[in-house]
Amino acid sequence: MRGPAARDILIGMANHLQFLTAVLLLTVALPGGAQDAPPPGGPKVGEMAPDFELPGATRTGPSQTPVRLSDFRGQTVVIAFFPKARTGG
Amino acid sequence: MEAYRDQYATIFKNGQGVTVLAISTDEVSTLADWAKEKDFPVTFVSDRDAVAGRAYDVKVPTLNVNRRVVFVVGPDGKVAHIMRPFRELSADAYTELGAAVRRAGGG
Repeated sequence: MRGPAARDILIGMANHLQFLTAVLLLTVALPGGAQDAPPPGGPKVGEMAPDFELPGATRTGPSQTPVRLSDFRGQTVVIAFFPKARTGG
Repeated sequence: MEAYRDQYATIFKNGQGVTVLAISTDEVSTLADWAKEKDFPVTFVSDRDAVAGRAYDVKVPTLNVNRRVVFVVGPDGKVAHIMRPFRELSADAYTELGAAVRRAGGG
């Protein structure tokens, strides 16, 4: 009984090794490597900033009219995305 | 946002020719309350459904939350500078942002 059992274990290890080798080869062969994050989308430097029209607020309260990015043409605009109110930074 | 407030004069020239739009997925009332409480001089924008977040590809895929990323847009409406991610705890980030604002023509 020991012979067949040992042979089964060896075959199992060989199959496992083949699988790991295949995964490694795929990772290296794929463009950029599978572990690399894709480059971010969204506008690039030199491209027009996507317009938006959304509710706004200042320290005096909610704005009466929506905030539209294109209304600020002629000025420099800093668009600062952040996760949540009352977080640091 | 405290750093934006505290450096508003030096980085953003007290809003002379520069507008800061701070965008999150919070309700507009939450942002208004926070702005009043902390006396923030910037304009907040409520991006409840992450519409802007998707357009600028800053939304976290599995959450309705935007990442901390800054775009400087020039007077011509074109993107002049991107800070992705914006490292809000680094003094260098604000130095870089101030320089980008000046280059873009607003400072």
